[in-house]
Amino acid sequence: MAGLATGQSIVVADKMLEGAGIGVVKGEVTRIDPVAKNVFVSGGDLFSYDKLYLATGASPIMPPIEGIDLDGVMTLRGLPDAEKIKSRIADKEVVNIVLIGAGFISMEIASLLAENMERKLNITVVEFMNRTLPLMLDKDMADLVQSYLEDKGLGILTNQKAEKLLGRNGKVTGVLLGSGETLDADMVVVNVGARGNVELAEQIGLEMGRFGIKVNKYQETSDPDILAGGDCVEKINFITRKPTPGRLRGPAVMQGRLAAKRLAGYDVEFPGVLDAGGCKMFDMTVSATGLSEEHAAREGFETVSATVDSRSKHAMIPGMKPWKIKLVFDKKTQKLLGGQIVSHAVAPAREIDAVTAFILAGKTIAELTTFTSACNPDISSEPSAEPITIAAEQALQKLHQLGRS
Amino acid sequence: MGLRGCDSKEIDVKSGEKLVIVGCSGSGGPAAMLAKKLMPEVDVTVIRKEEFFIVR
Repeated sequence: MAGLATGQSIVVADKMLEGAGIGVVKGEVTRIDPVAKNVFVSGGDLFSYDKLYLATGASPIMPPIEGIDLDGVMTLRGLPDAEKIKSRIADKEVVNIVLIGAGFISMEIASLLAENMERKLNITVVEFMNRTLPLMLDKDMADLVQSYLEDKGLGILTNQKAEKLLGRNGKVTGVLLGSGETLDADMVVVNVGARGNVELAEQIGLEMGRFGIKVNKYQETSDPDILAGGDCVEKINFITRKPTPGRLRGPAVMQGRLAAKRLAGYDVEFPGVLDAGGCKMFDMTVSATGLSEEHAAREGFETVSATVDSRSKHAMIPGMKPWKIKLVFDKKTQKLLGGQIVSHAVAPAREIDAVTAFILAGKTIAELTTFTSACNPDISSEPSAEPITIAAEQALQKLHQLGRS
Repeated sequence: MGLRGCDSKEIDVKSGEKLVIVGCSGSGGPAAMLAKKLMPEVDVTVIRKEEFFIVR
């Protein structure tokens, strides 16, 4: 979308696979016979297998609202979708753009269009929930993002439902909101989630979960010769141990590699997902992992949290940018449950990986108060301003005060 | 069919056997590359319908 990379450069090239000695077949699998162990491909080809790995991905959900089929209503999942959006936006008559859903895909499209187009666009994001990036951030952190994006000229409408898409001569012209307000729209981009492509798995009769194909910790399905991974399988949340969609590229890659290791005889288990992810909008980078305070409450956790301001460099270094981290702990076990970062520089957002590691390791509030980070004036805050440590100290103080009250 | 226990070792693919991977995006591509690296003697084939796939 940003034009920073060519389409060809972001795909797994056939020559890379073929160069490694892997056969590449372009075609759609129409049927699998798990008894004869054959895969049938469009055009009539048939491939026999000893082991099969299903990585059929997911497709965007298009909500069943009136007008969803109008010309100019799009989504973004793959490169062809990005090219369609770029082609549409090249039409100078496209000025009013509405994005439905304030997840990271919509937010990045909105900021990239606003940032990279030579002409002024009226861009509005409509979100059903009460905040932007609702699956990543609590409201207090999301409000920082919304305020920043509004200053950049984006319209952000939360607590709003797109009731109907309006059109004329088959082309989209507007979005009718639940409030009764109508937004003019020359283009509408819908990103409200995805659904696993599980038709082949269902046809075979594989055991299914609520969010996709059921697999065990080795990516094995209910058929002993079929493994599956990525967006088409149901994940388990590392903290709650409950089923979750977990449709992010990180787990998809790791599950693919884990399946290969399993087939080669290695004994490595998939630990579950934390839904760690990042999002860049203009010069703001957001990252999150684990449970937000709101999500933790829904899961029945009583939490204690702390939010701390920090710096991308030591305070006296030119180019220093502010960033903020929020950590959420389980009050009962004092274990870290999640983290959220909103940063005006890119690098600090990667500190979320440390938070992920701490969650996976079961680290507690007290343990994090002694965390020592690698510090340097050009690459981090001062050690005394290291925000994970300070957030843990604040949480510890809150617990201490509660214990005394 | 129920999920087998995680201690099963029957899953190993043997030399000369065929591993077919359906889909070659975020999960299928890495599965194919690592499978071939760890088991060069296994016949690995990926079948993909998309010309392009990954956005991020």
